[in-house]
Amino acid sequence: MNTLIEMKSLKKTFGGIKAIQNVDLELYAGEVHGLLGENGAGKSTLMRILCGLEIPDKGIIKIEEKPVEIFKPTDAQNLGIGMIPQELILIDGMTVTENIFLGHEIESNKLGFLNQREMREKAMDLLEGLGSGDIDPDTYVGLLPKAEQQIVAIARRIIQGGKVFIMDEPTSALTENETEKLFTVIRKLCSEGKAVVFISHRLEEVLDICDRFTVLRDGKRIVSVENTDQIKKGHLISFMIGNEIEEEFPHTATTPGEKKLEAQNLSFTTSQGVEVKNVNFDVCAGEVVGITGLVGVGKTELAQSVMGLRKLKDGQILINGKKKNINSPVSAVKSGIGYVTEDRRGEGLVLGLKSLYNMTLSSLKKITRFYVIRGYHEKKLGLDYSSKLNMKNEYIDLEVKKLSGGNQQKAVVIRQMMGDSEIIIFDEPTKGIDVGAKAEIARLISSLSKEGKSILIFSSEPREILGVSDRIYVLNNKGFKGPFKRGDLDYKKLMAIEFGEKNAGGAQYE
Amino acid sequence: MNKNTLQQAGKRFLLSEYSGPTIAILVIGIFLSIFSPQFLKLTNFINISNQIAINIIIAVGMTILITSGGIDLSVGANVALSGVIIALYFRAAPDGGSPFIGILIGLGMGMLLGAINGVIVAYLKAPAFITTLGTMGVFRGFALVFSGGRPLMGINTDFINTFSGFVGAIPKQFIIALLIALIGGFVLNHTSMGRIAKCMGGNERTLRVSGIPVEVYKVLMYMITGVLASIAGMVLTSMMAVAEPIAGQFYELDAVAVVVMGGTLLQGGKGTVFGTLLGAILLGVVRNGLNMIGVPANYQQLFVGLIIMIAVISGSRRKQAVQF
Repeated sequence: MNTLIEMKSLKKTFGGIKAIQNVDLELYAGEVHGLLGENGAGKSTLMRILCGLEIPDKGIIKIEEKPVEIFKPTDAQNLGIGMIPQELILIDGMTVTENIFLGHEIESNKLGFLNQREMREKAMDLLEGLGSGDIDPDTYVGLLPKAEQQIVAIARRIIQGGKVFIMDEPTSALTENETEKLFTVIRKLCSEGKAVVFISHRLEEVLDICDRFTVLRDGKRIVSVENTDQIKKGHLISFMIGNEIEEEFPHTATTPGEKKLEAQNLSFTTSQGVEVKNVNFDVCAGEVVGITGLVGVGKTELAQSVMGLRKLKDGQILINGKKKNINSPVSAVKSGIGYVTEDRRGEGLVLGLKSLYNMTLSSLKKITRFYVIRGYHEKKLGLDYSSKLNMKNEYIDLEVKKLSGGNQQKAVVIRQMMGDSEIIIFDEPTKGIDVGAKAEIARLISSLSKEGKSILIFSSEPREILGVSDRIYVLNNKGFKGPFKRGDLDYKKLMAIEFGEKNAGGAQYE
Repeated sequence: MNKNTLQQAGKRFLLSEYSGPTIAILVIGIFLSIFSPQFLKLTNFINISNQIAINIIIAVGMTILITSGGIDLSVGANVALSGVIIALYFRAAPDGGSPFIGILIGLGMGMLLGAINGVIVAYLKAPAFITTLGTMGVFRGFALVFSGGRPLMGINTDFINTFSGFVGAIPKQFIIALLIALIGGFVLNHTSMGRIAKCMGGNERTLRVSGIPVEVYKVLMYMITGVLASIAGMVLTSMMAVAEPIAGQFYELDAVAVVVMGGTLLQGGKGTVFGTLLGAILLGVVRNGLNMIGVPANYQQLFVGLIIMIAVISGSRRKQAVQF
């Protein structure tokens, strides 16, 4: 097999954190190459470099043995490399044919008139060749199901002269039949000498479709092997997690009080259109409950549903044993639920505003008299809380965008504390926060629970979940599992459940 | 005060949003006082304050609204429609009507028209720009239909005297405008409504996840803008002693212009009523000055447009300088 792409000793650092270190990767013509690793192992960074979305600090990329420079997405595109995230490259309001030939239109004369007939025929041939002749070239792409959109995206890449197709979780939104259809297309592409990089958390599929795979862990390549019958799912998991030594997260167990929030039979749709059913969980006063699962499985959507930011399809939420109709954040906050969002900068904070003003946003009633803000009271309240959380006094007068990630997170947490939320939902609380601040946030969560608050943490970081939670629920692509008691799960067992491994360990209790 | 603190104060002033309009007012003022002997006279200042009062009243509401990330292009039409409705009341009332009821009708009209805009933008999620462009046409249309397209006379004299005339040497409408600016500035900087306006313009999602009923506040902001426009309508009707269905054209553009000249961000999140006041004074001085030094009417629009452009461009350059 001849090497199509060779990446040598690639390195990329983001603000002191090594995303990938000296990673090598070879892609052969005609292969499906699986790229595996936990969240944050460096898969995305590596692929973003290949696509020109990131520039590596160090390293060489060769295509057919010639060194190339990829500084921007168009460089990658001209070299035939492209990702297939359909939503980025297709235009819903244009037809299949128009989308396939976008930017590469066939003209019938020098004046630039389009040769519609020829494009339509070519599009049909192309789709036929991909085994998808049943896609109507004249329908609008927005009307097609996700799987067929993906095939149109692939067809578009072929017209652009694509040689390497990078597919990041291409099957997450697909049904089994659709997945099979996509795999047919992938095999077809490979038989024509193109290479496909297949990134997925669904290990069965990786074992099914890939010819070889590479496992990354902590930004390093662990292994690149051929896919043989000897390799089983368990092998892949142990490649990915290695011999983990569990890190200590500060946590002191508390005796939980009465049930504060109970979710019964929730069902909701993830942003990828997958329906999740039968979600049951509860959290008591003074307890930290972790809800975990792989990225994209629907944790954030679940958190948003509890907060009233998303519509629940079914099920009910009980607060203090009473049924509450939470259909908007307004009613959630009234019911005593506070929300520390995953998207701190996009959703959690008004970046251009002082951090003090960000803190008091949910408790304006406390600092106003006849709607007039009492500046002195506001500042005093802000100082009280910021010193409680070890935040420097002068920070409260700074625009919040000037603070570090950890301090920004504190500002959001302070808002919930000031607002007297009884139940605080944390969605990916330590995302984008450096290691020192992570431990501090964990301590903070612990101390909140000691004060009797109920904490729900939605996180894809297994160590964090294992470290801070009293009980753990796991959402995987088969459903909602748990609760598991603290101590009943270790890293390996948790990962096995997250990846949907059958007969996974971990004593379930009711 | 020693030299250092003076320097610092100077620097802070230059970096503040007030520096542009203030410097421009001074420069143009000095220029005009050299070239026109009439400019520095008290009567001329009274004249200017008379001319800018209505713009200030409308622009204060617009400042709060733009700070919250909204915009209202229907304020000019609101001015006309409120005036027409009040005039119709006075003409229909057998005893010439009561000024008090006239004012209530005016305020009610402002609330209603603002609420219409607010509900469409907040609950039906239509873009503010196009929504209010549409209601601008509708409100103006109603003003024309209800008045039969003619100016309406017969405005109650007490009503007229409430909004026009003088207190000492100062025009009443200018006092009203200053009061409104004072209250507006207080609302924006010291009340929960103002805080919420700034947050809404800065990041609406944050307000939403914080459990604040964003839609309710949005409607309120449009209602404030609507009420201030109708007050401007009452002032204008009183000044002319007649309700004109075609009055108030381009008032919305003047208001937006002075708001932005004053340093309020058009995309929302930051706003200052004091800046708006300076912007309105600048625009007033320019318009007045062009008359004073005898610039032909055909050229006046051109200069006004240029001044607005210069003010806005220098403002956004200053913003960049502060940010980086």
